[in-house]
Amino acid sequence: MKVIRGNLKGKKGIPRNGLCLGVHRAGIIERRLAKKLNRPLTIWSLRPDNEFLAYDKADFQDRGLSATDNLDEIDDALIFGVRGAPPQVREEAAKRGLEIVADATCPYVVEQEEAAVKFLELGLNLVMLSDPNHHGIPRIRGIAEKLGRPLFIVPTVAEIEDINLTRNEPIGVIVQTTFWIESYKEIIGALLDRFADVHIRNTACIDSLQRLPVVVELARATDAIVIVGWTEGMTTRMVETAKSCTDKVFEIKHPDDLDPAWFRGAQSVGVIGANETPEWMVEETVNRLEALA
Amino acid sequence: MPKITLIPLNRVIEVAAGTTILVGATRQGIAITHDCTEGICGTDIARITAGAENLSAKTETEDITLETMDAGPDDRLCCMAKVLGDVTVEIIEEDG
Repeated sequence: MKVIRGNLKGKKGIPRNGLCLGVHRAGIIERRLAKKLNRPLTIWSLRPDNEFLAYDKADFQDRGLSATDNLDEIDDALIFGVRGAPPQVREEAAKRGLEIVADATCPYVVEQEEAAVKFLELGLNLVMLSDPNHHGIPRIRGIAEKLGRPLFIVPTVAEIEDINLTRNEPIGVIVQTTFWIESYKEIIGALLDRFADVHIRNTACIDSLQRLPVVVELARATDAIVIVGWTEGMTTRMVETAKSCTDKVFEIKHPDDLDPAWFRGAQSVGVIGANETPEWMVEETVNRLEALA
Repeated sequence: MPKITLIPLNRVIEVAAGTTILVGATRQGIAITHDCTEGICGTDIARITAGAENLSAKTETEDITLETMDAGPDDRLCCMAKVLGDVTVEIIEEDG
């Protein structure tokens, strides 16, 4: 059995370690600050359980970095994590007098929030193409609520009929940063059929634009594909994208999750990591599959 | 006006002082891959092979992005580096 690793090396906008730009950038900001300030720092995170999975957790703990989604656990200073924070959390932190020593929110998340605010301030009805369970929804919902406007979540073409607006009421469309561009185009086409006044901002991130085509390429070139990841955004989209090419898609969170029975009869298997998957985990998965060959 | 020599294209363009490499090249019809123009996407990394001292200083944002992309000491982001004098720029293409 031939094992082929998805080739992300040299792809523009994807760091060499295979993490997404936002995740790797946040780690760099957090470690720089820990070194500079030389004191314990807490990261407020929408997913504190996931905050350090891309790195060696002990390394972050040794530097005095920890993560929480509870402001009560923060004494004096905080960093906003890569996934950002709803405006209500930012306001509450300010009200409590907490010092924001850095905002490590992914720049593409910031861009998405700015697009949402712009559309809402123009009086548009906000439509977000996204899985409804994605961790980013509370942020965008919080922004819409703050500006007194509804938010319509559209994961597939089917949910467009749930938008209770007339044809001429204006909509502003943004997308979850990890949305697959092909799904995005399909839904936009259907929105243009249904609505007359459609404003669009492509808020897909560079990582999804680069990583997902590699998934397609790998899924088409192999008999089965293993996706190593756990993020609701990118991992979910990678699985969705791969399933559009083959039925043999296996999502694992750790190399220990591999089941040799999945690959019986397969001549080739593809392996690729998601945006928070550390390189060692992808390498270990490749090694274990090669041992099966 | 300052000159930018772009390699491997082997094109020399003149730009007004203070123009970024990205904008200068784009105005002359030379496409450089980019995704944001704010120094965050890291897709427009270029290697400065001469005249690095004739570019504006790196901002903290550019510095963090260059570290994120494991860039070398001679690398800059075309959207952030403003041209103040003659410079030679090697555009780094995707190698994946």
